[in-house]
Amino acid sequence: MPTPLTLTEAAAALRAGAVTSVRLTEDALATADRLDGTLGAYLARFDEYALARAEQADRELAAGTDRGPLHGIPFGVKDVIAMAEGPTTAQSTVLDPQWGAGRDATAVARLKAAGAVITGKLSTMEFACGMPDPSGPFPIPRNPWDTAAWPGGSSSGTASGVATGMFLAGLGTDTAGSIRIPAGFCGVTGLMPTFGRVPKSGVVPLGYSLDHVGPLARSARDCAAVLAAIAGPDPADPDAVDVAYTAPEFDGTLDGVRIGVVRENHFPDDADPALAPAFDEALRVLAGLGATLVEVSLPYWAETITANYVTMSAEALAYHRAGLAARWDDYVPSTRLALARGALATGADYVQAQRVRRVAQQALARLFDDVDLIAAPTLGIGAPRYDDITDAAGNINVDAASRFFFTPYWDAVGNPVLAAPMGATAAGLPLSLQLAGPAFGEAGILRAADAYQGVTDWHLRVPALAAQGDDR
Amino acid sequence: MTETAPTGPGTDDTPADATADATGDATADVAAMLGRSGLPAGPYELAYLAAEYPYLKAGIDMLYAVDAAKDADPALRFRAGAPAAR
Repeated sequence: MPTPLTLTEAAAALRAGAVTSVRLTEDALATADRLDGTLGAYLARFDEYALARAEQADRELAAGTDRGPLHGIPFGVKDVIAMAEGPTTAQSTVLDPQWGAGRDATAVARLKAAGAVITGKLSTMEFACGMPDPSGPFPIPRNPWDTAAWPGGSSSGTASGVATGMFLAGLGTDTAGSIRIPAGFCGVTGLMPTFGRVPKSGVVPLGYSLDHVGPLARSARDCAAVLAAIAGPDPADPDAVDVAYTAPEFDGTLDGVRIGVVRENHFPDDADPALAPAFDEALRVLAGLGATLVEVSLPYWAETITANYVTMSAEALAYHRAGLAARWDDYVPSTRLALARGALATGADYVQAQRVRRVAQQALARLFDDVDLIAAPTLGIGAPRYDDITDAAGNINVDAASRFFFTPYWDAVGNPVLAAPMGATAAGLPLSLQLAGPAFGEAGILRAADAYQGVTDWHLRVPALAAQGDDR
Repeated sequence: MTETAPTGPGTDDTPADATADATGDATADVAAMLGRSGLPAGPYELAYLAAEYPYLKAGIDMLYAVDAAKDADPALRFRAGAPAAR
């Protein structure tokens, strides 16, 4: 049979005996052999380890030991997340090579326990906050829909690898949009869970109170399977919460679901012309599935984004200040800028940002008394080309485009948000829909996104370069 | 980033104090703030951050203008009892 496109299909095929984990893994590695020289998704591959794990999964499944839907599925892990099989670099020459050595991050340990076949560590951009550096030792990640374009970040490799079949699912992290931005630009599905739902122990920190670990995969149903495996409290992460996660029931209907529609601040005049029609069509589909739509505004939009910015900058500088002082030139220029911003706010500013986060959180909770979900675009544009985000000094810098990233609000309030493909620009670049829910409301989001993806196929589209030579 | 926010020279919402003079003044302020943190910023970073600073400052001032935050408890918690090492 052809290689299954989604984790869910692959899991079913494995249990039906239509495919083996070894075959899935060999296909994934062959795809990486073919494409990764162009796409730069991997920083390290663990081929022998992965094949051994796949053989083990096949043996276990044949013997009737079924660890669940991730068992035998090829995965990738963003390289800010520790994994015992190889070093964690955070895509930086600065990070101590011994950081996390020989350890698994809690989320990775849970993937392994669920039988996942982790194929390697993935491109992330320096410390999840810089931009690719053409003069550095790491690959420049490229977008599979247009290799002259940025795949988004900072979970760049996870998104481009899922989009092209280098693995069927992966882990990313999100502090201001780093799961949803690359998911959006690469045309895959990404879930930022509620803050604390997935432990961040064993993850190189960016913003301690903002970092979220979550899945990227083809579909919402795939993301649900991953979340079920990695969610849960962890004594090593004081932010990890013990709130029961109940998997959604996928029934394909949205009868009785109230969706708040956000347009304000999400449709600047110079957004891509295809954005509004794509969003309207997505809303039409959601309404057709039974949802009731009502226009809403996100409370304290500008203030909350600023609070995210101040918080992330300050928390990141606390982690990096000594390193910057000692090894300034070893950081990528865009990373230096991002981290140095933390010096431009005071301690009082930081605390005020936390007060505003609390106010926004409470106002948003009141909004969720009236709606079950909130829908908004993820991004205002398709993936920008590198030529358009490279400054006169030759540095890649996406600051000017970041006003089209409608993601940081949700990190600051900590609510769960899913990004799902919803259309394409005239140039064929993916556009993305965000569905957000109340704190710990992942199941409602996943159920709605699954219903949407049950009647649309944007999440199943494969970039031309990945489809070439592919029998899917 | 990815992890940037729409406050900066690339945004359309120019704050009232983002004038040439304000930007010029910001260079000394920004240099001092970076220096206090021991960050050896070069001309590129200093010029970039100085141009951006008025936007950041306007955003921070906006945080203090949130009436509802006047008596709000910050989203900060310290719990006695050390958690396990990360």
